[in-house]
Amino acid sequence: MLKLILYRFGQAVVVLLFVSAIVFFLIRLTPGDPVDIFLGEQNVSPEQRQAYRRALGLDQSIFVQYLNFLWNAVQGDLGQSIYERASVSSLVFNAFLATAELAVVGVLIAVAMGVPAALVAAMNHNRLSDRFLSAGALLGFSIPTFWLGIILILGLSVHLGLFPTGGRIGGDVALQKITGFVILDSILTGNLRALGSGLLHIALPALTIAVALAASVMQVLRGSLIAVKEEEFIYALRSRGLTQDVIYRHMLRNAAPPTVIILGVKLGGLLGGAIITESVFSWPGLGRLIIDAIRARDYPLVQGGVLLMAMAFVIVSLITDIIHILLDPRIRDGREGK
Amino acid sequence: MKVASLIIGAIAAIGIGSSALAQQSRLVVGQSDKPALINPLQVPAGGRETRAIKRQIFDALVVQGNSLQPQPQLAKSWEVKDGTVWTFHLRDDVTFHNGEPFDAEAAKFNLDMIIAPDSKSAWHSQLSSLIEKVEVIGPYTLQVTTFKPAPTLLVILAFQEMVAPKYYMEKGPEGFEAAPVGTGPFKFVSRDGSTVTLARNENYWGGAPQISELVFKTIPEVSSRIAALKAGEIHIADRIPNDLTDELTGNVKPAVASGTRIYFLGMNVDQDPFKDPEVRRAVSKAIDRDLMVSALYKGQARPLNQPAFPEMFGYQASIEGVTYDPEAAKAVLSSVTTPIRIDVRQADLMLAQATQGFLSQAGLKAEVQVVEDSAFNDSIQSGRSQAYVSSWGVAEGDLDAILYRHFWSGRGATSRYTNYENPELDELFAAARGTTDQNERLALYAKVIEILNNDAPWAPLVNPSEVYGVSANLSGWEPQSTGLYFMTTATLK
Repeated sequence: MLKLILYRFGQAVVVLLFVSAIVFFLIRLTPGDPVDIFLGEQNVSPEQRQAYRRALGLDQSIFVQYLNFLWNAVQGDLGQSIYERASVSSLVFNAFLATAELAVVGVLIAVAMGVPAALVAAMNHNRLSDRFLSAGALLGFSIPTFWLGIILILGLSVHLGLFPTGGRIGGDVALQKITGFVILDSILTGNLRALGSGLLHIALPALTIAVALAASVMQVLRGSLIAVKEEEFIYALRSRGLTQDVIYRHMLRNAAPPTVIILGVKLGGLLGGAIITESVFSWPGLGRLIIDAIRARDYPLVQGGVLLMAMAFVIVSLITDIIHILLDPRIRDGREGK
Repeated sequence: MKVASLIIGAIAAIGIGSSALAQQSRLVVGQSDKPALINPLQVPAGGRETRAIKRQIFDALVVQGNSLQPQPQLAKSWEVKDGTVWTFHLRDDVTFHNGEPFDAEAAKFNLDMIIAPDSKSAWHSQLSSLIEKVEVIGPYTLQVTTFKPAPTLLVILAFQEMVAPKYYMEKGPEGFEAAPVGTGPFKFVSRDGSTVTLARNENYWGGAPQISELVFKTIPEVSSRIAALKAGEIHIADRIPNDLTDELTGNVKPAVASGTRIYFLGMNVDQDPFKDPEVRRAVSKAIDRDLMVSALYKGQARPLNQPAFPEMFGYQASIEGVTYDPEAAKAVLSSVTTPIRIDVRQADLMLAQATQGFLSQAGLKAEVQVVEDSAFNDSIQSGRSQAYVSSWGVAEGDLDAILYRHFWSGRGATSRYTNYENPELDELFAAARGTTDQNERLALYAKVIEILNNDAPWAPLVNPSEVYGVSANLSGWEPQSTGLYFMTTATLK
């Protein structure tokens, strides 16, 4: 297993190198100039424009710029954001924390909704409840995120006033920062007000993400469960007179791998920023940060953001693989047997 | 499950109860775009959103009202001698938030910082080309000498917010950005990403504001902005698209100010068929601006018959200007065989499509091409677009701003736009820049407008209003054309 992890780690380095090169050159190939956007509609002389280009290092050849970027990145310095005037690492990292918090809560809700639904559907295969749940999953799958987010806001926030319409925490709530995760920090500091505010703020965006995700969990898991249900070992367990709970546990464990992979891939994608959900709920996450950075042609910020996205994706798929191995002894033994 | 729902219910009760209590005099503004730097001496200076925040923390020597003409702020009055020597009489009752006094020395410090050769201020190149020297001639008397008569000086000064000198030198640009200090009605408290929190300045020279806390919050999505307004989380929502004004009912209402943005169709005079001024004039005549205003903007805009709107200095109230004349347009355009392509940003697509419709009616084949924002800027600035629908903000309120950037032949390679140049126009531009006599400038601008309408590198379209959504419990506040928020009289019920 160690060998596998090392191998995957080597792969990750190559992937990241490629990603860095692609994003570096691609963003520079796109038309548009950070200095222009930076200066806006102000009337600025060509000399002043040139001075800014120099100050930002944009007057150097593109390859020199790339080598500089790589050299600094290896040392952990992703540079300064052109537009935000802050270090890319801190901007990207804070946004990533917001995104990660949303993604994790979203996945938890999706699992909480999807797994029981899949179990009920699979056990009642082709009966009314299965049909109903499967149709529900199809619906959840097909609802556009944008629409769902707005409808949730209009219904639950504007009409009923149950939830705030956006943001991460109430503007009038103070919270001491430890990890950067609102929910975790408020638990750590025992700040009940912040916890309440944080949970209320994350509820709707997380639900918005979770609906489509729960639908995929439900569909995939239901399929595997139906297949597992007919396996001989289940009959064997049943004939031994085990309780239904224990049988469910065995079934779930055997049916889990495809679902875990789906969740891993989706979580990896979500960590890159659920751009639409983040926009609708004014969630200060990575997706929104990168979109804004691309619009402003903020080269260093785009590079740093995409690099972190890629890194998150690679790490999550690595972890998914490991969980997959732990769940499925056949892969584990197959690899180590060689 | 039951336990979980109980917990959530309890949390909801805590959260809602507490926020309702604390919001008594906390006013929140929801902005569409996130603010750039607050430090007025550094770029990026950002747009209206940033300026709205800056002008709560800082004052300038003068300020634009709804007429866009500079009014006294930190300068009580001023006079000009020989067109080049400006004497400003400053208020003597102003202190910065940190206790530093505001006086002529402080004002000199600020202007000197901007015109210094290594300045990173957005207005450096304009101001340094105008100002020769800044002198203190009394504790509260400042004298600014310009190289030559500088009619636009005053309006540029309306954009130069004044920072506290000692504090600025002590903290440096970065430290100042983290905790800016000015003389404005609100003091800076904190900035968390795109949320800026300010507190009332009890000692504001113009009278302390009614509300105790003012928050600017970025909500990029317009539907979310309206939802937050309806839910009572924010009290003002900016940039409501004109066609969504009807959504603002119930506990919220629209508040409208005339805008400072000119929308136009730019035609590349170096490319066919627009090499022929006859064609450009015909294009301009083919467009029914009144219909645009009523159909696209639901009346929340003004049709333009010249490249200026009424509050702008240089606007000609008495001319007929460009008119809608479909028959005359058809007579010229039906013989044009070259199809045209109108480039446009996604945000202005509807306006471009409407323009395209009018042109097809007049017999000119036109297609609309949506171009990503930066690519669009690139293509128009280098003068490659054959035709484009775009806009230009004229917050300065002076025709000079448009001439300098779009039509003066010295505008440089990064502002080619329509490639239009005209020596006669250059002379008028130089003459208008060379005098502070406003009547003389107005006469020069009358000729400028005549030339621009006749040569028609632009077909001016509309000047949309700025629509804000306002909570019904907010009173004492009105939106401004400039996008500034005057908040001292605002109260929340």
